[in-house]
Amino acid sequence: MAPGNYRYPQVKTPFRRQVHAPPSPVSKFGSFAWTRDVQKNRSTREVSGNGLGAFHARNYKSLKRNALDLPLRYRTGREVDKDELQYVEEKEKEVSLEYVNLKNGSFVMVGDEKSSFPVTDVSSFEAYRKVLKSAENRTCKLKDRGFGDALKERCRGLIRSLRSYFIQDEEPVEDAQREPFRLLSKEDETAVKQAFSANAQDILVTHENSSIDITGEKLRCLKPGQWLNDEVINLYLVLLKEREARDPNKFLKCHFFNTFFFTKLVHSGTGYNYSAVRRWTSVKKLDYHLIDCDKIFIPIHMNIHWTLAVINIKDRKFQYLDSFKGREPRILDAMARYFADEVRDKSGVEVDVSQWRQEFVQDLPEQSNGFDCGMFMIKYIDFYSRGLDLCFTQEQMSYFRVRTAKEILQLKAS
Amino acid sequence: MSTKPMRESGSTSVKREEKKAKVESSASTHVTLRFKGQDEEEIKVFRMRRNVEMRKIMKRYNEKRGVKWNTFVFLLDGKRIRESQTPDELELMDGDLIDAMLRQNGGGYGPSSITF
Repeated sequence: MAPGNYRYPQVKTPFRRQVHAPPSPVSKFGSFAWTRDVQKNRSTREVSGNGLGAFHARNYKSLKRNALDLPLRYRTGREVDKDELQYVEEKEKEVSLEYVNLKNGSFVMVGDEKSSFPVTDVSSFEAYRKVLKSAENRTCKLKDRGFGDALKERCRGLIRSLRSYFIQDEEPVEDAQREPFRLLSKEDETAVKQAFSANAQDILVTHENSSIDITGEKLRCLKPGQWLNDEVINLYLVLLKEREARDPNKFLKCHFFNTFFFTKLVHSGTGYNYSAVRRWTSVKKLDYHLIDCDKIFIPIHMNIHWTLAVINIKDRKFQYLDSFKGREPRILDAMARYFADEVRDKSGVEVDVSQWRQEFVQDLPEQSNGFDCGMFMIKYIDFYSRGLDLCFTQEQMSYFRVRTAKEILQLKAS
Repeated sequence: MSTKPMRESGSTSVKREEKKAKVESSASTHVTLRFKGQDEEEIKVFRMRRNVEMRKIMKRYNEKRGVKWNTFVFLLDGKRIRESQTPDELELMDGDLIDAMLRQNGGGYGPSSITF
């Protein structure tokens, strides 16, 4: 319904009334009954719903209304035709009853069926003539005022406000999606380059809390083509935990085990051995129980390959991620067992892990060379801890390497 | 009292069982620590002064194992031990088990080496 340079009277006045007093969302007749009625009587597009859906719909409508009310609003010169006003008043009286019926929390946008609307007084010739005259007057006035431009401006404004309304929730998500791929500044790249050519024995960075020192030699594992070592990976995981602590709302609640955990759990001679790692997660150390987390990440070192096991408490499943898409059911079995033991030990609660799924994630980026699996593993962890899908590929690995080096040098993961 | 408690304890009290070594003298100046390597069953027991840096005992363990320095990463309940720390700083108690883990490198593919 475009603003009105019409030669014929517009009958869709209820919306004008609503500018002054939008309906309350209280249901008077019950939306169900009204819906059926509405469907029968007119082909209308109804936007109804409960709660947030209706709220959004309502706001959408109000924004739309604001644009559609352009002609009325635009007449700021107070050159309102009395006749027209009167006409509007009459219309309003008639439609008031109809309008009340609309107060069921749903908005009914009357389609282009003028016939369905019970208009009575307007059919009188006199009123029609008056309206026609005022419409013509209005047309001239509006044209004089450069109505076209103003209309465009209003449309643009409307689109902007609509967009901002609907997209306001999306933008933070978009930022979150772009953050893992943010380009590095020139300074950062230079710093990384320098670090790569530092002396092997020089300690480039020290992390007090985790007692990890990164020497020039250790950092060089992040150069393209090199295998990642435990120091760099463990330090990175510590930085991820610190990142979550800085910004708990942006990241899932996670626990990151270091690379030695799984080895200790299953290599203690007798196979699976919970008591060997029981004290790794004491409450004194952690301040939380593992069961309170959303995800638990366990990096797995297999001879010369890195893979990842995830205890996904949020979705109640155990996941195994291998950049070569290998499968190791025994690993997930051990994870299930560990989780049950751990929760029983720390919280005294029995978790029935047999009900949880075991998933070998197949839908993941694969490595196409023989040296990037460590990088893939820490990126799986990074993206999952952000709550994102694994939307990266082998091509980005060189970027990720430099970015990881930069984050380690600055002792800050972003 | 011996002037080199490390050396003496090392040679006299290495036991081939998993029981704790008998603590002879005052527990306040010395602490008995057990070391378990990742790749073996045996637990080596050492005794050292509380205010001496861990570096010494780590070196001793490496010598015992016949490996060079920096082969192992030493963990106490999952947390790494720096060689500059002392048992007092780490609040080590008698009988604490320290894990000696092999360093890890990885990037490519190899046969699964996980034994369960």
